[in-house]
Amino acid sequence: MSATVGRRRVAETARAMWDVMIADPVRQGRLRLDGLPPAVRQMSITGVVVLGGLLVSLVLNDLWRRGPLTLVRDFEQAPNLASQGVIPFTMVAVAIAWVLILTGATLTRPTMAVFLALAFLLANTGISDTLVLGQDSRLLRVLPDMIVACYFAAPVLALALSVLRRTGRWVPARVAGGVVLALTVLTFYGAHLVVYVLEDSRGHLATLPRALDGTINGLQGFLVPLFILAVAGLVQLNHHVAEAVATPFWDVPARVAKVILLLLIAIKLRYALLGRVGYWATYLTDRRAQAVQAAAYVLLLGAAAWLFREVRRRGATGIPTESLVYGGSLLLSSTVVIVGVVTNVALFLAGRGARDAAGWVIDNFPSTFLVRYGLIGASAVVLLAGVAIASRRTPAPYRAVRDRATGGALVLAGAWVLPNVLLQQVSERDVGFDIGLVDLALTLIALVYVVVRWRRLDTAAAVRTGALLLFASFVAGNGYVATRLVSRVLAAFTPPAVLLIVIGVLYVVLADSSFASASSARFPREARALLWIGYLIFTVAVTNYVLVARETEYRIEYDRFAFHLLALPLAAWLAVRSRFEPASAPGGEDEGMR
Amino acid sequence: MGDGLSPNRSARLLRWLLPVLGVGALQLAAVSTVQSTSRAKEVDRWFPRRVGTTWLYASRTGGRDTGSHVAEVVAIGATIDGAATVVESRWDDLLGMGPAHQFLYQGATDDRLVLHGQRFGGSYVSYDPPQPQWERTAGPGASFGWTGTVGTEAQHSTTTFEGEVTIVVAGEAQEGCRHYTTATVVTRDTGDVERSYETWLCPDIGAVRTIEAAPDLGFVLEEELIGFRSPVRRLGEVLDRPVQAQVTPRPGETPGVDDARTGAVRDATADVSRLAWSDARKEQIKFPPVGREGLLVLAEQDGAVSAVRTSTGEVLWRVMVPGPVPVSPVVHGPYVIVAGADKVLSALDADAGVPHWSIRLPDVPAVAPLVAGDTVVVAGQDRRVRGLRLSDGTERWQVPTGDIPASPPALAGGLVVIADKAGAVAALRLSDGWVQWSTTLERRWAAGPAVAGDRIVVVDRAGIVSAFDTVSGELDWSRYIELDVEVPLVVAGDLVVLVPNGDRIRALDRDDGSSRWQVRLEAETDVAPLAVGDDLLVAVKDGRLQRRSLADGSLAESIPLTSPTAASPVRIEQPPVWVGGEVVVSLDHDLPWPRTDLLAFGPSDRGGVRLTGELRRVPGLLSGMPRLAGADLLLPGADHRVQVVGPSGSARTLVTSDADVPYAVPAGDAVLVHRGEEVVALPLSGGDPRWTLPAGAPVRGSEPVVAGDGAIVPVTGVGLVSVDLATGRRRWIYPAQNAVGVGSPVVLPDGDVLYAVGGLVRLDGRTGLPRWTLPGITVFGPIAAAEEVVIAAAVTATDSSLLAVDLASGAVHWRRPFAPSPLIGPAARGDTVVAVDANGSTVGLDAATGSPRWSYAMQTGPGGSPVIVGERVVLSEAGRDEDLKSRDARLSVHDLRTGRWLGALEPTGFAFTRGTFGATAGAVVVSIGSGVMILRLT
Repeated sequence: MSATVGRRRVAETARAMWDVMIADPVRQGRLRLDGLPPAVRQMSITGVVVLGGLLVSLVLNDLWRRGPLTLVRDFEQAPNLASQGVIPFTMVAVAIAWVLILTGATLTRPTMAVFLALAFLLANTGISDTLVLGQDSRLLRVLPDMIVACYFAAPVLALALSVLRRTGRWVPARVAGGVVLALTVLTFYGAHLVVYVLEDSRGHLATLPRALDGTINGLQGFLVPLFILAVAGLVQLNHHVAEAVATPFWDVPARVAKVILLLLIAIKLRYALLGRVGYWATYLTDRRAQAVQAAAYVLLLGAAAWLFREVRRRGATGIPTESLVYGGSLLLSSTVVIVGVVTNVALFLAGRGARDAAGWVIDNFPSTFLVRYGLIGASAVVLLAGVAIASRRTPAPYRAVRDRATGGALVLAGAWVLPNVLLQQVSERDVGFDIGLVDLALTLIALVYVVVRWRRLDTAAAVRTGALLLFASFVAGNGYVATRLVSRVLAAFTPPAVLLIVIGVLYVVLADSSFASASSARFPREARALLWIGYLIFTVAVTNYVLVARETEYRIEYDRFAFHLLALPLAAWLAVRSRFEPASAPGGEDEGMR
Repeated sequence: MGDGLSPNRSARLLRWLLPVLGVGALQLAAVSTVQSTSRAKEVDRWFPRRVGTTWLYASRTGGRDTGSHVAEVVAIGATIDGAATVVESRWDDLLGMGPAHQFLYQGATDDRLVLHGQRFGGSYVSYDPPQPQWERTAGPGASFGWTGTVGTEAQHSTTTFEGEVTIVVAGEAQEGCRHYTTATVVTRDTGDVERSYETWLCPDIGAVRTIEAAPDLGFVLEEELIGFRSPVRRLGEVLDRPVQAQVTPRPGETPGVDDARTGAVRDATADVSRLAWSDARKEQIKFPPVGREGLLVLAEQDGAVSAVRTSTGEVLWRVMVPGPVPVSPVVHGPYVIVAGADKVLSALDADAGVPHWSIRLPDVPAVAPLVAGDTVVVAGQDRRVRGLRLSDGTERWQVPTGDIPASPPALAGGLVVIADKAGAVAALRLSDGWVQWSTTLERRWAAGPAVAGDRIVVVDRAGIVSAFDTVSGELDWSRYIELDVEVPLVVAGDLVVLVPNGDRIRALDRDDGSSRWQVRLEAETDVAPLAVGDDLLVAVKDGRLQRRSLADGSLAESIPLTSPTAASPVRIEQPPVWVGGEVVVSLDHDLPWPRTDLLAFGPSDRGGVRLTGELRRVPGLLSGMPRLAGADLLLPGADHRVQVVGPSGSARTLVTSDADVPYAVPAGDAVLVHRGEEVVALPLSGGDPRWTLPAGAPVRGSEPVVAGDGAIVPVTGVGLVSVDLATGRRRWIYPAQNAVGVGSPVVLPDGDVLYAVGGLVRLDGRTGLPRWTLPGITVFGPIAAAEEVVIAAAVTATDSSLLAVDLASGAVHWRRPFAPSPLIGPAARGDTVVAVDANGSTVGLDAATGSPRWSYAMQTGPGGSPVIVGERVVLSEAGRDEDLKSRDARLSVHDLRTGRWLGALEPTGFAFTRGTFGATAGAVVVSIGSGVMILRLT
């Protein structure tokens, strides 16, 4: 092979890897701003800029703490001190998020606008008013009233504009109303900041840091869907990376592919087994419940492989992963979100003086029951729905196969989540196991497979197996492998785990946001874009804040929860669905909606 | 594009560029504006005001060496003029007249520093309006002036910026220092008096030299800076450098009992049945106290860090660091290592509270520091572990951690073992921070590390207990206990003790992790147990302290720890700790009071007490001492009314006056009240007066005394009048028409009456005729009768003294110099006298000889006369009531004969102890403004 050919091959390989890993997912799943009305597009661009700034802030979040600190929370064993600078930074970001969300509300139907207006009221109930000690300034006497007025005016205005939009008339008034809406929201947050600065400069106790912290903590439940999406996004990214790494090997001779596979197995065993036999032995004897969970996961993988083999045999064109991921994240976060809504309703009522009503809500809403049994019920429904869909008889062969695939996916998900959440309630402990055990088991199975089928093993089988092992390693590393290099460089600014959030959110924005580019009569595209960007800004701003304030425990636990209940079945789904075959590879399947 | 136009490249770029610039500018403006409130002001260059900043001056008076002067910024307080930096000064021989103590209150804006007032010699003098000490001026020759009053004295001052100079301070040349001169004119009836003040201010140091001349008072005081400490500058020494002898750490000086974080005290006995002392504070705590024999250090939520001498109960020092205090303080030899929310870490002197050094860290510590050998190991929220030199705080090494440090580092030989929240565990060499080994737990960190012999024990969130070899980091054993562990573990003897699920105790074998025993607590706990000798002490949430056997976990005893007031439920949110041979349990209470109650149990039969009772809400401020009449509380109010507040809190007005009502004294079913210019006897149930007695204008501190069926009433301009309680009929009158002084009579058991206004006299109780007199003295507060003597803080034309006069003969037994505080006098019982002077120096004396038995030093002046209840004496410290954030107001209980500390209570809210503290119907009462605390010693 000449040097020129070699260079061309390297270039082709690099391009193929780029396409598989980045270009294709982004092309198919990115948030599209082209074609939006100019004002909406510009607002969306502004939102994306804010989101980008927030992601940079996430990566460099330790830098915030080099400035002055302020007490934001003292309920825990040790007080939480946040950077003073992150308070206005978060307020500005959240203000822009709400401008986008409420503007999005004006572009939806009034029913949806009511929902979003209520969301604004509930989400901001902790900062719906402010306490001012310094009465020496006229501004300080006026601003508290202004804050309350804006708090109520913004959602009312959004709702009014939504109703007005239905009439199709008064366009100039609607435009002016939109500007007033944006200014109202910005005034609401801006007035808080002015009060904060004036009170602090007078040496008075400024209430904003604690109020904002309380508000953010009351809203953490609403971030859970994004945390879960981020974890799922990482798994998808790992899958793309494994797929991309495998890409150059699809056309190598079988002997070379087999030797490389053996080398990979040897390397994996070197790190998984050497010096760790005792650890695994203790694990298997001392932690049987976890070992059983790991074995169950291997079984799930097997079942998924069988299912897709069947689906594939019947010529299915695939099931959109994005909708499964979103559905899964909503399902898993549903109980937390509902309880969060109820809590904020109670806070809202209490804040408005209806303490009895707030107490009634807290006392009578079955939060404990919901938290304990909500997910069990929901996963049982998923399981049953999967069974129903898979067994549904339909005359159209395409739909029959698709139903079988969709139903099968739901059955798999339900069959994994249901026993896990049941186990969680029975044992009163978080479920979970050392995913390294599954990785080791897969490696050993692969070793046996390679040895038994050595002569009959072709390139495709060897590459598939190798890619699966790589993918397993990436998933077992919970994304750390993919980010280790970056995290070493950025260790001075942020904990490695934060990078996983950043990468996960980036993946969601770049490759898992196609739904926001779609449109429907009820939910037009411009509204989707604004709402989605607004939500992302809101959640990343809050995440950034809790990291700076060192209040990360909550998020981390949901990472685990999401990893075990969504990322693992998703990984199984991804592993068996595509078999790591790029679209152009021999025997590769075009999934269409990857 | 919806509009169908294809924008060119620059338009596309502009679409993105504008938001980038716009949002960026908005964020920048918002962040910098908010942060601007925390930026150092220009005034801070010339008057550093960060808490802990300390100056040491050499003083000379009239050219003569008069010792040293230490000034320290101790708090950010608040006077009625606004926020103020509190600077505490101590001279060891001010003007050659002995020790002196002063608090200055400085308020600041960016370009001005003003003096709100100063407390000196137990009293506060305000500057009205606040007097400028420094102003941003145009340049040399510029000046600023002030006209106002200092207390009641009118003054005018002009301060001139004379020029910039270079000055050598503590051997170092300081450039850019400024020389200011101040000329003050004091307006007096006898003519104006001129005084002068010169100061040289250096950047980031403050005053390095001062000359104060007061010809009218006959002194010239010169002071020169010889030592300075702040987080950014250090000059010379402010304290003698401690001898770097090997310090042996003692259990309880650090969280987790010792540097190995074992949570266990060996070779000791836990006796939790006897209370040694109690200390109720008005602030919440996040960390239990630390300390050693005779020293208890406590950091509170508002930033107050204080040291108490546990033998006497004296508050040795209190500094208010910018709160909240992020981590527990640590005691090590002569140092107390303290961190503040401003990221400043200080090594305070354990005796004086003055910093040996202070440094500013990049972020606050995440966990309590470890002090080992000559190194302070600080693990920060910035995910760095730093090794600092104990001698000066300079950095030796630093090592990054993956996540935020989770638990105080444990010392294992020469290794420092630290775990982060993500579950990474690393062993660093103490000498240079080199990572000896590191490992990662399966799940996030839950508890540990603790040193168990040659192993490090750590627990993760999965419920896995892991023991790693100290030297190699190899996993020695691990045990899956299947339950959450959220409290620190204990390593005692050959056991590793855990609290799984918060509702049980489980003991594992230290050598192999095998299970030794498990018991249910029949309650829940959030805090670590404490192992003492063969016992394990567990504080459970519902307020019980369980003593269990370490051998098998069996329950030996369970001590209920009750609330000091029925209205405040008990919680235990801090672990029991070991401080100087005593087990200290911290109770956390909700409103109304206290927030924190420290209870110390010890082996000695010390007889500790608690101040328990109720807080009764009252309408308005008081003008005199509240008194109990049965269950009702009689309140002489500042609103000229006497009100009666029942146990339910219901209030009714008994009488209204047109002047101050200084007292309302219960007398059977009546109440004696000074209304206008007469004393009236009112039925307690209300109604018209039973009788009235013309008594002149009310005099605070002169109150009637009820004795049997009569009352002895001091009457202004007359003397003492004995009246029949039922009818108001005069029985006798002792004339003291022109007497100067203030005081109430004392009725002796035989009915005789002692009175000291205008001369000390003993009167026949039946006739009012003097048995003996001691003329030439008077008093401005109460007198007290002991076994054979009467004690008075006697004031003569030339001096004042504490005087003991023979009860029988009127002969002087003994006399000692004494500076009394107005309206405050001695107390006596049996053979013991207790007296507190204007500065708060308290002495317990042998009544017969006057020889001291014990002493007690308050941080500020007294809030009332000592109150003797049985064999105990209750002292009231007024605190700095000019400072709304002061934490010095305090009641303390001592053994009458030995002075041994038995208990203390910090009145909740803002205490108004002056004139409202005292004993009534066997209880101790004190006003807190919105209510009256009715306390009993239990």
